[in-house]
Amino acid sequence: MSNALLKVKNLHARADGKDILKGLDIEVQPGEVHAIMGPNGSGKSTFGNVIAGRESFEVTEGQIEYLGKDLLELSTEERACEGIFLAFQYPVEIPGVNNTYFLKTALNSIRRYRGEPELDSMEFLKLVKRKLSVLHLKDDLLKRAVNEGFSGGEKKRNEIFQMAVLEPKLAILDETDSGLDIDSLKAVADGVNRLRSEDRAIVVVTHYQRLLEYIVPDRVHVLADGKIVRSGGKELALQLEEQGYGWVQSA
Amino acid sequence: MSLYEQAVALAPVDRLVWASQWRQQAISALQSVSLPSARDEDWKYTTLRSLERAQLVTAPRQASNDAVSLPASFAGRTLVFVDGHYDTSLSDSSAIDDLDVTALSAIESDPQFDNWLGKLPEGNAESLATLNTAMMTDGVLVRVGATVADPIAVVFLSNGSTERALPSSFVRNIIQAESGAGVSIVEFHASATAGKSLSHSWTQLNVEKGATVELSRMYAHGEAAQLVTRLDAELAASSTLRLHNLDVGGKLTRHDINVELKGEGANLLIGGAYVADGRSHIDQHHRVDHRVPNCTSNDVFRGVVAGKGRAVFNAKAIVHPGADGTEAHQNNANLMLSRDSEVDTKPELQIHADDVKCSHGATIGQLDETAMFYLRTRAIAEADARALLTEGFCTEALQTITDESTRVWFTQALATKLRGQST
Repeated sequence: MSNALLKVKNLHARADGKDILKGLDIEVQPGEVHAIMGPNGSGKSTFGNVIAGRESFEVTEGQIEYLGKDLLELSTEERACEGIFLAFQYPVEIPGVNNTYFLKTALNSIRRYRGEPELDSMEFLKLVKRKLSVLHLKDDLLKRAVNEGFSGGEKKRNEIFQMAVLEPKLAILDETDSGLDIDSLKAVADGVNRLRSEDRAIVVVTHYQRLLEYIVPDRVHVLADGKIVRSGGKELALQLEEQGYGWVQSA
Repeated sequence: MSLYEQAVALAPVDRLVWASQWRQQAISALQSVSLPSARDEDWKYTTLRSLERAQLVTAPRQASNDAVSLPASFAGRTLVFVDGHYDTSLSDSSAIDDLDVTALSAIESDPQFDNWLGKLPEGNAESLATLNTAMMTDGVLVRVGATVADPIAVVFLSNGSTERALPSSFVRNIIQAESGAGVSIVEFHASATAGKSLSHSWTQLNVEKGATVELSRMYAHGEAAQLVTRLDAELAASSTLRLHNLDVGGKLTRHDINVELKGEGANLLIGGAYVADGRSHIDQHHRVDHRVPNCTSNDVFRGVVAGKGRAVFNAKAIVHPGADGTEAHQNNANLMLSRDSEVDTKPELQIHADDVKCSHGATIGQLDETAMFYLRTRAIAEADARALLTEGFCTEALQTITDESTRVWFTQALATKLRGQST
């Protein structure tokens, strides 16, 4: 018996009429940090989208068990309420929707689902101000529309900020390092590291080893053509960096 | 019954007696006009055919306090009209004592309003304006000579009926901002009771040199109400008019907005949002005339259509010969949430001058799937996510309301409508 937080077995998924995941297996325990690495087109982003429940991705075979439940039975928002968080590779700009209002709606949806009392505006503001200071973000972020006019770095930091407020059990960071300069990368990694805890698992999906210097994973998996083709410790990431993906794909 | 017969039967000749001359002139003018039809270019998409057979009657003039649902946060004075008649008990007593703001019915001696009430547009397309002058019972007069700190709300309530006859009301509003004055006014139109009704309102506005007027109008009638409005504004040199329209109710709505930019350096903003859901039909017709150089006009509308709702947007800016240095922009963007909804949008520019900066654009789109997914991954349920996105989309066109308590009121009314919206 395992007490796995997430157990994915033989996962097949397709989008736009194309098979992308072709038998993916992975198991994540609470408190662990996993990295999924792979070349472009290997199915990395599809993995995050399928776990989060995007309807345009169709699961054709396999199972996903999360906290002992059949994840595929749950809607996107139910998954979020159950503690799944996806940090987007391209966070969406939502003009006209205030960041604070958006986050308060999100947090209160989760609290309602769990039978906890909703936070009023004052309580919520106190909470977010605390989280902002931890992530070294400015207050004015709260007054702006969601991601509108944010720089690439601000968008990614805003994703981690949302994660800090929503406190998920399983966070999937989809190429959170892409498009970041070294300072932003460090800030994002620092934010993620502060959120590591015994009962929270984090899956870092990335093309490059660079981010893993700052967020050190417990396990590294290599994804190629829709399957995990190799798994190992953190040293696997370094090996990939030196030898390239060709080495595992031909293996 | 023809419009003329209706007017003869129903015109309130004992009201506003100082305006009798104009009322009689309008009644006789009705002999030679009929309701606009699809043959009139400006009425291509909106029909008033149901009025042809309707028998107009006066409405009961009574409403409860609950019907005046202004938010507690609204900071201004309030005047209330029920079925076209000023209601002292529902209004702030302070409002009427003020020389700046009064009900037309409170005016006793002839106020010499020939310029306002003597104006009768001709032709079938304008026949309801003529009917207004024949049938008007009351309205508000705002005449300010300085800057007024708090906004003024004018509430128009209409009672509905399920009987055959159609309760109708006709109001006339006159707003005059004298040189250098500044004022913020809200017109709030709603149903006092459910059922069908016809409300016509005509607002005339004069913004003198250097004056600034902010006029924000909300229409939140019940689903069987019909509403036709007209607004005529004249802007003198270096004056500013910020006009906002929010449509969140009604079965049939038609707005005609005509603005003349007559003095150099005048600025006009027309902004607004509409939600046409269920079976509602909302038609915006705007005409802006740039008569002199160096004026600006911006017309920015956002709309949501859902269910079997239909929206019409036709905004025309005419840059007359000699109006060099004009800046005129029009933009209408729509979200279509259902297959059975319809949008007919036509921003138009006619340019007869040189050295102008003009643009127009219209879009019709659907909700962005990625944005919906993004919100749902943040635990926001599908219906709430849809409401949040549509709200964000529309609300931008109301952010230009500068009076804060008005802006909050309007954006909240829009949010409430979108959250309960039927698709």
